[in-house]
Amino acid sequence: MGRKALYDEAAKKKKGPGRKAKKQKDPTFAFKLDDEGVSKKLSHRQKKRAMKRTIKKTEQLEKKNKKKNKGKESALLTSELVTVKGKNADKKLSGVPKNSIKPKPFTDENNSWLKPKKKKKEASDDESEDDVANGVDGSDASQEIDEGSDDGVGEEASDGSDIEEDASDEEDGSEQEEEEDGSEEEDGSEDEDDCKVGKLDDLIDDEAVEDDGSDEGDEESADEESGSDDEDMLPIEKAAKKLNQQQAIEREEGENELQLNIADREIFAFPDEEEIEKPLGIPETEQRIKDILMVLSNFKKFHDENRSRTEYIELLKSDLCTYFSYNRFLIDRLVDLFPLTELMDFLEASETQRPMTIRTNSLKTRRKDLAQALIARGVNLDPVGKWSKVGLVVYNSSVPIGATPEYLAGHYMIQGAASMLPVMALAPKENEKILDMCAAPGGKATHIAAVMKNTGTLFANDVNRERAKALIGNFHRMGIINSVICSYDGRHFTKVMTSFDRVLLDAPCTGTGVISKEPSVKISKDEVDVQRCCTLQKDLILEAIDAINPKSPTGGYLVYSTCSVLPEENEWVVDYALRKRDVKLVETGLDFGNPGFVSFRQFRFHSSMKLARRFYPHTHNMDGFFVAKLKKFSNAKFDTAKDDKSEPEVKDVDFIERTSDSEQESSEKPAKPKEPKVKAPKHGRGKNRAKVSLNGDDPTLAEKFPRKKEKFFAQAKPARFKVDGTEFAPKERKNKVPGGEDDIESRSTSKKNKLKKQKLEAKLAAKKEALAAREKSAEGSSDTTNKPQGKREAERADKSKNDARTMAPSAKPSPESQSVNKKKWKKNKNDLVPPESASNVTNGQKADESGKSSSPAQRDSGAKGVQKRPAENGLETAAKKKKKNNKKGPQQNSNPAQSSPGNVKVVSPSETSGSPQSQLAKSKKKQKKDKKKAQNVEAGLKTNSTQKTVDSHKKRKTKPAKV
Amino acid sequence: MKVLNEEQTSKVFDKLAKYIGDNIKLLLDRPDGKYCFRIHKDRVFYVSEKVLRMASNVPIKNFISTGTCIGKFTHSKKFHLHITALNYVAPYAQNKIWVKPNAEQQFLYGHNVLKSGLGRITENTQKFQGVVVYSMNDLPLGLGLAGRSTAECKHADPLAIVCLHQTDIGEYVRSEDTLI
Repeated sequence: MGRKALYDEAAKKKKGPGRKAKKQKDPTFAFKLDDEGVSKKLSHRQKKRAMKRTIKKTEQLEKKNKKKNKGKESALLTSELVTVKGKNADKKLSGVPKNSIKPKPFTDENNSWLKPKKKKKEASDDESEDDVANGVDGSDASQEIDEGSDDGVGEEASDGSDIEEDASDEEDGSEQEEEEDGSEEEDGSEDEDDCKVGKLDDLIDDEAVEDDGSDEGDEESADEESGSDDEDMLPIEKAAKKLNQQQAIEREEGENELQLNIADREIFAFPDEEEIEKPLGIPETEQRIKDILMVLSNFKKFHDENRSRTEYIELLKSDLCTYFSYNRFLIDRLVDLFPLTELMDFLEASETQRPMTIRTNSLKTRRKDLAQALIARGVNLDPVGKWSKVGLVVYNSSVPIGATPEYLAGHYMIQGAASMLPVMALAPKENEKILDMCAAPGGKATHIAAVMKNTGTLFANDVNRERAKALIGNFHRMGIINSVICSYDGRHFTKVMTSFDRVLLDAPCTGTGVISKEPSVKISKDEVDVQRCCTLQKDLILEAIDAINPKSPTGGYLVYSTCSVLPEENEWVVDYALRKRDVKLVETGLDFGNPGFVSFRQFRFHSSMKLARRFYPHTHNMDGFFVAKLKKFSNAKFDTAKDDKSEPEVKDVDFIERTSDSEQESSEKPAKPKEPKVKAPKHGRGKNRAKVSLNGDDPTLAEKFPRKKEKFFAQAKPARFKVDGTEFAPKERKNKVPGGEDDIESRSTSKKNKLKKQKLEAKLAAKKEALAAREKSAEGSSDTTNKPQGKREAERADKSKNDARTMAPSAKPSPESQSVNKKKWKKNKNDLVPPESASNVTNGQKADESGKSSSPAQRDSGAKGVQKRPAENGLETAAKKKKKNNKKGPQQNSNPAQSSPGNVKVVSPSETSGSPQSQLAKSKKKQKKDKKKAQNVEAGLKTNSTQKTVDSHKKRKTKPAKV
Repeated sequence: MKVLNEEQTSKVFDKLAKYIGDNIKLLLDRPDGKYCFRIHKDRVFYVSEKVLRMASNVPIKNFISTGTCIGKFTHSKKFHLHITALNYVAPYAQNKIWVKPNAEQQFLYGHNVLKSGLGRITENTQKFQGVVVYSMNDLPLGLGLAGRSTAECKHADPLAIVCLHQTDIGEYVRSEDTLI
């Protein structure tokens, strides 16, 4: 057996499906569909339809031909017409009975002209009339043709008519030849009528006619069409049609409106003053916010030419205030803090609650077990994220999360996700001594204890006793046994205990990061609140650092955290701590979160600030938080050197305020640094000199006072010269051109002091007159005209120095008596040698110098003079302050809250400037502080002693440990 | 922070013995260092000596709590255990009562445990002996007194009280302010 090998065929054969699945061949039919073969006999109706088709075809053809020939027709010869006729006849010959129009049944297609029964009769009457009339015309035409064409054409025609006759005989014998001819003619000649009918009849005709480009207007036909349609429509159809039309209209309107809206959006018109004043609805406000944001997103493109960006932002701020119901201050801060898009995210995220998170108490249970127990109670939860091994997010719960038996048994703590971060950053170790300075209600503190596994000691402190009660409850519930809970002012905690391995300072803050939790923040906080918080935080952070043991083998760390997003409460405070104590920022150990600001607007923070971490509600879906970790290296306190700037370096501070201040004190400011040098040697010459030079050179200062730049340097430079003044003066004198720069400088400085001085001038006039007169007499009359101004002034100054010395700081000798030089004097009023500069110059030199008449000397002295007064003022005030302090001393000690915050001014512009004045003030403050500290220590000792008396000997025993 | 005097000590120990019996010894001799009782404003604290040493630094007026507060002396000089003592009492408890889940809630709201809510009970529990109340999944819920002995419980009416409520962990929420 086996298969036969068909070698030849196998190659050819196409491999198909198996034998049994052989493909069926195409079917073959006995009859042929095509007209080639014998066609199947048509049914009656089929025949009718076929007739109709053919008639239509012929009609269309005729029409076409007519159209084509229309123009020509009139001019054409009859012979041609005959041919046309012949053609027609031919067509008729092709099998369609000519008068087949009549028996047409009533259909939808022809209903317009073919009416059922009654109407039909009338219609047929009309038609017959028409036919008669047409027939006449037609006969005429035929006659014409006949007349015109005597030749064979006539035969043809007759042939045609014969055929027609046959046809008519077949179907409708009643009709006459003529009529038939006429009707035929009618079809042809009366094109218009036909066309109309055709149009009304059916679409095919319609199209055909349109194709032909009939003369009739489309409108007419359309109207007719609709009219005719309406007549015959069912009510429901009519309604539907109406509805369609309405919808179309609406759609159109809608589109128009949309376009209008788009147009509105594209061109956001800045509202007028009045419009801004008007209260706006919430949705409108929202729209406007969006509009403004869009404008600001591409300011160049969209902004109104007449409006500046600040105006837009102002409007945006006010709108945000109304829309989110913030107060203006907070919105200002937030706008400063976030880019605009992020701002919206932040504000919106602050409206919605963060998901509830719980922290497993690892002392009592495991996360897995807890999750199971809670799921059994109908709680839907998930781990909070990879970063935490104890956190769980609760999505929804059928039972109150804060009252489950598991909660009461201390298996978990309800705590924001962000609150776990500081503890993670702190990374407590077992058997350490740890302090939580602001512990209530104990979320973080219990977390610390749990991480420590109940070993070591945890001090949980909170200043508020009421809140501390929450601490008790939570600590006991969570089963923490290594804790000491106390209520103490954190700013003085070092009195209780120091040498902690780690300190967590979750400082009290304005809470701008937890607006979703506490919406009252939106309107309740203002500048003062922030300042207070900031001050408090600075005190707390210093105290916290002081409480750390830098030599701790395991720790020596401080974690500073707040639930605020404002840099004033975060970076600024940390920056302050970096200046004041020997600490450095270290990695927090949190692998997410935004880095802290190194620079924020005009503030420049320490470059390591990027190690701090910021968390935002809109980016991390947790409360706004700030976490910074500091390592303490020694107990050193930089109260002096680094104290210069109690605030972060400021670049380009609020300009308006600054200038107004500085204008008032313009002449005074530069003088200050010198003052302590000369008159208050306590402060150390070298140090002060450094400050001065810093002031002169520091480019940041120049930026600070861009408008006054020239002035500032004009003053600052001489000030620097003055430091080395005595040495360089002679050299410069030689080179100096008298009355050049000096005058300009002095003029600039003097202008503002003119008024003040003039008053004093009057008082001093008498003395000076005398002096001047003496001078004149000595030098001779020539100097009034020929001598360079500077020289004269120098001489005068030198001579009047004694008087000047006696004068009050602002008092300058002005030689009013000399009417001739009055103006010049006024110009150089400030160039008078002030007491210090004068003191630099010995009496012996005086004469020589005056003889040489050096302008640099004057400049120096002048600068000194200008700067001198304020310095003296400063000193005086400082002295006063000192006195005050001495008086206040005890009080301040008694009120601990005041003492330290009082020293730290937060945003006083004079301080921020880092100007010599402020430095002076600070140096004074420093002294103050030292004193206070001494007093504090005394006070502390006192309290200790009292405690001792009250307390048992135990205390005394432990005391050395504390020290 | 004072050391308990003789009388106070005996009262405290008596009370504790009601619940944990001889296991008091375990509270005093612990492997993880010395623990002691201290009294502060009539509150008795049980705390490790290491922590106590540190706590003694805190001025009395600022001191709030240290270690674990186990109870307080009333004005009439009786000693009351607080719910906060549960941490130490529960592990060493000699007599326990387990309550059914539906009675659990009742107990946590401060009600007594009825026979109907009784899930299990330790053998040989005497009448009016201190018991620790547990939920069925071994979660300590509070302290109470046995209303019936174990034997009596078996034949008791469903509405009979088998455990008199003394304190429960619901107090952490109910009376946070007066917890200690």
